[in-house]
Amino acid sequence: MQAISESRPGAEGASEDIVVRLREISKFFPGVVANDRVNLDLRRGEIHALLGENGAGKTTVMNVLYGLYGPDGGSIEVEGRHVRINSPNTALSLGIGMVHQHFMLIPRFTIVENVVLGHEPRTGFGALDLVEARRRLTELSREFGLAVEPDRLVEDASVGMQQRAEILKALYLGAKVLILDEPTAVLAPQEVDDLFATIRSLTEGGLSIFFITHKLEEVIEISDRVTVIRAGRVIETVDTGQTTKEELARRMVGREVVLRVEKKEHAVGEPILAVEELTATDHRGLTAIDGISFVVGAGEIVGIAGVDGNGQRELEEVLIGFQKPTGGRILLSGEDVSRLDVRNRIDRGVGLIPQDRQRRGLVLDFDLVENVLLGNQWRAPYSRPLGIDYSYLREQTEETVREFDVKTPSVDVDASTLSGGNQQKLILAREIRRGPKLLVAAQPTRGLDVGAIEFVHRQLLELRECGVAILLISYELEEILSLADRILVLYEGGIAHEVSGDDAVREEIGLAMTGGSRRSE
Amino acid sequence: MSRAPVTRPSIGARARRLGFAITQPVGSVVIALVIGAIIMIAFGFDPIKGYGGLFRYAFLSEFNLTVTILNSVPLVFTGLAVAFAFRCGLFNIGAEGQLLVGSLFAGWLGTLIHLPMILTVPILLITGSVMGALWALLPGVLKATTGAHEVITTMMMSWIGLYLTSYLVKNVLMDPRSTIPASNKITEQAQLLTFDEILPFLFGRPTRLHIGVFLAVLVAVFIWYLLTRTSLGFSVRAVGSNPFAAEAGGVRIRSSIVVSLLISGALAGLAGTVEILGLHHRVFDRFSAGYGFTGITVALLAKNHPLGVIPAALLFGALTNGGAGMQLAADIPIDIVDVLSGVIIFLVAAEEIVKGLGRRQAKRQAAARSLALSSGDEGTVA
Repeated sequence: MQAISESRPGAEGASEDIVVRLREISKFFPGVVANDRVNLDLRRGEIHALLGENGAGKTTVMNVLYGLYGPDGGSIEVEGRHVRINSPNTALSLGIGMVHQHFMLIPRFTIVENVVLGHEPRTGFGALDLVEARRRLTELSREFGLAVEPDRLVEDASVGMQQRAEILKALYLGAKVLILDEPTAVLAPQEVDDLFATIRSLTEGGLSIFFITHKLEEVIEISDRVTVIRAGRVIETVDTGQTTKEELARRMVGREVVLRVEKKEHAVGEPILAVEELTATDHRGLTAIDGISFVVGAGEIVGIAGVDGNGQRELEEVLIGFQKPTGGRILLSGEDVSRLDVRNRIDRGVGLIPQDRQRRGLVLDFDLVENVLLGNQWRAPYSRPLGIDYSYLREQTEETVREFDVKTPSVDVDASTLSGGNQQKLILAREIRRGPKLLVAAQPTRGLDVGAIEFVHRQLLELRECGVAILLISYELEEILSLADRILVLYEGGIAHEVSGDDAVREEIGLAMTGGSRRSE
Repeated sequence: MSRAPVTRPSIGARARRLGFAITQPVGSVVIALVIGAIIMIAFGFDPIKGYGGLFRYAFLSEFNLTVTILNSVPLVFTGLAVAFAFRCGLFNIGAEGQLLVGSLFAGWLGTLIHLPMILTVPILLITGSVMGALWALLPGVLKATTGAHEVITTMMMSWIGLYLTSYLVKNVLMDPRSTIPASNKITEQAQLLTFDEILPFLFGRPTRLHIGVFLAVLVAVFIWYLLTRTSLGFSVRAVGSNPFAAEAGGVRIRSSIVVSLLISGALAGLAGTVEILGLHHRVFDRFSAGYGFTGITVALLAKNHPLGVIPAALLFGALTNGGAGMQLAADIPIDIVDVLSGVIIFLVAAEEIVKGLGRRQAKRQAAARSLALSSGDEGTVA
């Protein structure tokens, strides 16, 4: 592959060492232009961020590069040579590897088995040479600082380790160009730091990286250059040092975006939710919430910060009534609701934005009308003596869709056809329109793009001004810092730290999230 | 407050949706007929003669049509029974036992009761459905409380029901004058009216068609309404589609499970009761020709749609009736009918495979659509 640099066409970029160049790539899906004459290049050793909202076409163009889609127009050059990439195998043979957002690992295989799968070293008898495989894996792992346990089953490995295994798999196959599709979406904050350190060491080792993301902070922190993609088109490519978050957000969404919504000062009202010495177990029967107590007042947003797996899921489930607490009480406006079922809690004014929106929030094969009915089916204007008033419901649904700007061709389509952001808007709309006293919002903006996040945040703050008590459970520290009036850090089922939103110090909270401190009394 | 204008799904869109829903079951039947023809040819029979005989004996002539319709009536009820439970994500394969138990007690009471017909018939219908429902109660409660799988428990209850009713007919209800195991005749007032009795100007001669035919259609419409237009039906369907979201929406999963199986059992009990009151007028030992099991096939073919159950039941009613005709007309073994139903079930069940492929396509299109929407926005922003 050495003769290539001499035959590089076009002298304009001669001073730059271009590894991959995409020229005028177009990709059409039925009725839609996913990529419209996209031009992109990747310099050797650089981290090139592709920034855009969900559905902007960033992943599509990378799937073209990785050979998963054939382009409908344009050409690709690798190391200055025209290539035709019609399968991931071709891409890999050209040194291009991709780590997808959803990992492509076999849960029942060990990490080393997964890494060598398809290109296994063999012994003289043709059997799998696990010793050799393990040796090569360890070598790569050490060289790039990607710590994995080779013999751990993938299903038992942490998400971070699975991701490192995916990267190692690409490296094992000889990747020189790595495409990372939203790699931080699944990671906890410290794991993100580790990943970024890894990415830097990879580029020092000579790799070049396409980094797909819709998070502005990440672009600023990790990338050398950034290309903004909107509606299938490249809006611009700039050096990261020459731009700002606000500038990028504007280009990405196509209008001015408020990254940190303004929060008005106002007094907190009477306590709505009071949790007293609450304990709960996880699905294995182990203690997940360990005697916590807190209060959320009317018009107050209390943020529960913490790393995933410290009791957040159980807290959500106990508060809405999916599981009963093993001890302690939950008081709603002074009434003990801890033994009531979900319906009775809804009737008393509890709303939920579930963490798992597709599983808990929506019936995906019901249309929007019936999804809006969910949680109202026994309630007065919807339920009539002779059955559900579908024409009233339909009217309400159309109003909901209009008011909350849910993008859909009609209210008769299945909820599964909505994008993630619109699904979330629908859930939010349904819960808000029910007029809750307490809203439990778990990960309300997970996976949403900047525009949708701004929308959700505005809605939450509006509810706060209306005097709704809001418990915000989030793994995004940034979100909690910008919204919460008070912050509790959940660590191993206990409250490790408590601070008012104004006095919050990011480092202290970060430390408490990892068990670095105990509750400051 | 001004009411916002409400758009309704256009008639065209509805028709398209219906057309799409019907294509697959109808296609399955057509393919099954083609495969049946190939088998006939392979064994040296004439398929045209065979299907001709089948059709003639199923539909052509008052007598044949009567038998076909009478065959279908219990299948409508059992089909509804299975379909209703299916919509809640439950597989009630014990409809046969619920049917037998329901009809036995209704028939028993029918031999004793001496009230005006207007009271007798409803009382007996209610008795039959309540007993059928009771037979499904235990599986429902076990499923709701312990998670015991209804496929096992309804089946076990079905065998208990079968032998219990058999024992009762032979030892307690047995008509001493009868040579076969059968109960006494039910009273005159307990018997369902026949068409010639209510419509003498249309049916000059006595016919065996009874008002159970109307009842079957009425109940199908009622179940459709219950499922698609009421809070109960909505909850049942939500549990069937996504119990987690249903739970979050305040649906009481356990009671939905129990209620679904109760309704399912009641419909199965009704199937047998209508047979006894309308046709046999006494309880025979094992009088049901596997209606509870054929109900599963009917529900499958109807894709669990309560109204779809009617044509599906008619098809299977016609197949069993016409099969005999096929044997007479073309000397083709009646077993070919079992082959046909087997292929139909196979194709309908294989739908999931076809659907899976379709879903992948749909997903791609949905992605494309959301893209189209976001690019549509750009226009208004700029």
